[in-house]
Amino acid sequence: MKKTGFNADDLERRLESQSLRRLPPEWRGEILTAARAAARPRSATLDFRAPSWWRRVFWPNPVAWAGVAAAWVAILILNHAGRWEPLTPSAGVHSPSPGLVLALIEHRRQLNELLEVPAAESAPAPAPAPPAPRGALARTNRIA
Amino acid sequence: MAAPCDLARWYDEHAQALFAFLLNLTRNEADTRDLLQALFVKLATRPDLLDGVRDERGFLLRTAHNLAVDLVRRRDTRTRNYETYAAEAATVFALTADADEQVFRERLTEALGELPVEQRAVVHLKLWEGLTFEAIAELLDIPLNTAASRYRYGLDKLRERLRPLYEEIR
Repeated sequence: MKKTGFNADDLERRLESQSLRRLPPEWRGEILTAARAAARPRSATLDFRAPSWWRRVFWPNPVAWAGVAAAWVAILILNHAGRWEPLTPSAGVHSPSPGLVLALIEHRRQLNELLEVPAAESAPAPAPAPPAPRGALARTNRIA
Repeated sequence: MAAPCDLARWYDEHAQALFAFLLNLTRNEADTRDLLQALFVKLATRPDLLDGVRDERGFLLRTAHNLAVDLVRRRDTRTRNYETYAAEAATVFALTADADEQVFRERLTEALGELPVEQRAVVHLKLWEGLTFEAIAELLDIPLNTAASRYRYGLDKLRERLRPLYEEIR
């Protein structure tokens, strides 16, 4: 150790003699009150705070967790809305039933009779007969 | 639950020492208050911690040290440099009317803030709690030689840091 006139013994004595800062007196009441309040049974007071494990899990990244929650809400909304929408635009258009077509034809015929329109003009062209199966055509030819 | 009189007695007998120790470790008055309150909340909720403890002061200083170390680790995880934080010099020593002495205390506060927290803890316990190295080693759960060497290194740094001022004002 260097002989500088400021050896370890001098320094230690000097340091030991320094008065440490005093504890603020107002802390006593505050700290003891807080400690006693914390020691009260939980059932005696309502505690609306989340459980500590809950806070430990969610507190580090509250924004990220909020984002995940918002994404889930959006997914649920879209999923729910999808159930009530038609799958394709044409799914909502219904083709008329055969009964309705016949009723419309009859209605039109009666209208033409009242207006005395010739039947040849007004009658709808008969639908072309579906092609007969090849076997049936051959049978017809043989008979002829 | 601790009897109210026990809690008050523990506070009256030990809070001053705990305050000075925590303030020297954290260098921050708000943190010191939080840690001191956390310690007494712990005592109030688990008074059995002191059952059978012969050296209450030593036990409380050890608990305070552990709380301060936990705080330091939390700061580290938040990428706050603890040694830089330590340089935020909360006044560790009492104010004095003697101007030279006041300057010395301010420089000493700064110099202590430059020590690693492990050395600062040992220096504080040796100089201002008057503990032996054996007691310090037991309290901090470190080997005896480690306690002694931390004190020696810490004191050397303080001497180097304070020598110019000391020679100027002696």
